[in-house]
Amino acid sequence: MSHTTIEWLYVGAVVGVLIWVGAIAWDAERLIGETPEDAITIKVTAQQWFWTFEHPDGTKEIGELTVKVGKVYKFDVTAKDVIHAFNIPVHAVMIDAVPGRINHIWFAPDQPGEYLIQCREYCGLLHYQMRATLIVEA
Amino acid sequence: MCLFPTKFCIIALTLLVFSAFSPILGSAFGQESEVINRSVFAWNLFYELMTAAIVVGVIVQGTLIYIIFRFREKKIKHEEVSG
Amino acid sequence: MVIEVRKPRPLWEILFSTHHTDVGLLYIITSFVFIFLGGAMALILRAELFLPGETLISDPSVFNQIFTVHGTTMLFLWVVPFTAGVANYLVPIMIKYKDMAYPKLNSVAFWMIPPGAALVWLGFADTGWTAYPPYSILSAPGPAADMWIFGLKILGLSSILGSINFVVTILKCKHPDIPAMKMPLFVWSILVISFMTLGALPTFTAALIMLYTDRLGVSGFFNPAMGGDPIAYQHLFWFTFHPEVYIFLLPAVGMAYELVPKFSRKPIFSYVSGVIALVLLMVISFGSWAHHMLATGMSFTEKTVFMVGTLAAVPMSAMHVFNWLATAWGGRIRFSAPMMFVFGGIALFFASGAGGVLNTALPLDFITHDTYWVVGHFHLMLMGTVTLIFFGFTYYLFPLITGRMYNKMLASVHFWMTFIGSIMVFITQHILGLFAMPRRVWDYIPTPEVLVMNQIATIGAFILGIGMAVFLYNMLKSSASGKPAKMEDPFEIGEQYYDHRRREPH
Repeated sequence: MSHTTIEWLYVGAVVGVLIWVGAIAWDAERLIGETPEDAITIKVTAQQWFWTFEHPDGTKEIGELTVKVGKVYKFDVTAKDVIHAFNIPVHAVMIDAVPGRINHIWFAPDQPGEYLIQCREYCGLLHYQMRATLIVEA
Repeated sequence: MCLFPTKFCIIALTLLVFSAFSPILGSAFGQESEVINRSVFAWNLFYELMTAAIVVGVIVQGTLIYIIFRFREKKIKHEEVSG
Repeated sequence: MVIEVRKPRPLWEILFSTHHTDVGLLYIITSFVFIFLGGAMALILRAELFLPGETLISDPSVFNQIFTVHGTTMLFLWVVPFTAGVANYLVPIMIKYKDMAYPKLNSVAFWMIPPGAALVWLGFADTGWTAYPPYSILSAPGPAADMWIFGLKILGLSSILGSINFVVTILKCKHPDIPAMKMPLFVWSILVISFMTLGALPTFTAALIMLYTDRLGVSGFFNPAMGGDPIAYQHLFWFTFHPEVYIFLLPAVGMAYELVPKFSRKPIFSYVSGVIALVLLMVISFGSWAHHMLATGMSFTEKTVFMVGTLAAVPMSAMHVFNWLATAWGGRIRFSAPMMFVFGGIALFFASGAGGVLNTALPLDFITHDTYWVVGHFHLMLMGTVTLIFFGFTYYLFPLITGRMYNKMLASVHFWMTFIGSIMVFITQHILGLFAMPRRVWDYIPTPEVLVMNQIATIGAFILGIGMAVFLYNMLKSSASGKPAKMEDPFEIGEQYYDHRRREPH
């Protein structure tokens, strides 16, 4: 085979793999990105350096969030001062909290327990301990 | 001289690509209503891509190591002397 | 005469010279000063993270300052000046011109680096090297952030002036006997990154001014309290710095193209595809900036566009790897230090590239974004690939610059410590990211896995550090009293070495 043929075959193989990667990633994002209709909205506000959660009935929690197994929750995430990022590692929930914007993300807890909520965007002095607790009740 | 005819390679590649896509096409035009577990979903994708990356990685790094052992100067000189 | 050290000249003659080799030497020495300073910062950071809680640095804000200065230093005071230095040395030699097109401009571009560096280092800002607003306009303290802004402005200007010079030199001063498609690929890579710099940097330059007026309170471009949008800054920033990533990478690609054929004693497998891949990447690199911002709340359509844009840049990089391996295949490879570094760099290039593909797969962003995975990924690229190949090229240029040969044993010790150290630090950091350890943290939750991996990473970092100490010793000792090199072919590979009989600096 000439050099050109080998190169085209190689490029073809690489492009094929990349199209496959792009397609499965696109498909997964399409399914994850859609918020289910019956979701309960929780307002999340980030501040240097703590989290405030507001339930639909108006109750506020600081530093911990109580949710129930089997329900679907939608977070309206925003920040008061600088950019933070709302992250529940166990549930692959991750979205930036940007002042002046409201970002959305959803999740459905399936196991009761206590999980970590943390900030994942650098936000200053105490960024490293800007954490909260997610309490999932049965 | 040609070990793999070009046409054969192209056809095989096309088939490979289509077989890889068929489950996606199925799900993209199917209907699902159940609430999905996003972390399971994301991690499944991660493991799938990691598997692909490791397979490709083994090929690339394997080639690299083969080149280092097969075509290094000392080995070639040795071959020239003994052969 | 290109050999600088063997025939010593008074220092002022080099400092005030505008000859391309003198400016190149100044660039290279400056960049090495800063990789050692930045590396020392990295070792302090890793030492702090060896154990959870307060260990070495008692104040988290000092930690934040150190990682900011470490990042800024390594990118703008190590990779960029080293590239400019090597290009200064080699581009005029390769295109057979007596000097750069504008020698005085060349010197000005270099002399902007020390004041820029001084502003960054004396300010010691804590904004992170990205300086995202509103943090950088509302919370970042005092003159530090302002000094950082002006430091980067000066460094950016220096980079622009250098790029103009390279574009003109390559396009206008090329010897008529060398058509464009016969130029070495290293020259092509410098041409491509110069165009990319000219296209990309203005956005960031504008963003810096807007950031500064925002800090003064006279405007509110990025300040939500005044109706601005902080995300706009991120767009402007990454529109510059995603292409900039390739500006860091492509010189290393060009250097690998220079070294692989010579040490394999074979012509490049496909010169044309190398040129095409470089030029295509120049265009495509401008289409993927927002993959750094997938978590800022973009729509599904936007995310898809930028994923496709990112994936589109992969085949070009893959083409380079294929070209190197195909060139080496069937050759008679001499593994001198430069070639060892290049092969180590290629091995890690694949790993970081595959990590990049995983990064851009959309839902994985929820897992990896802003964790140590990202830190591991770009360090594997910048340290594992770019810096490794830069070290290899330093060894290759060593006879040209000093007229002497480095200590080969110490060079391979340096290679193995750097290679193993890089793997220990940066692959471990990938896994730390999967355990959701956020980046830029002074402390972490000491679960057993995270604790152990942080300690592996720290030990790896110190192996790297010791390797660098070996390198420093080797460079200083060998340039003072190394064996005189055989200048026609110092590596005994049967290839023509660079022309060392250039005329005296003017």
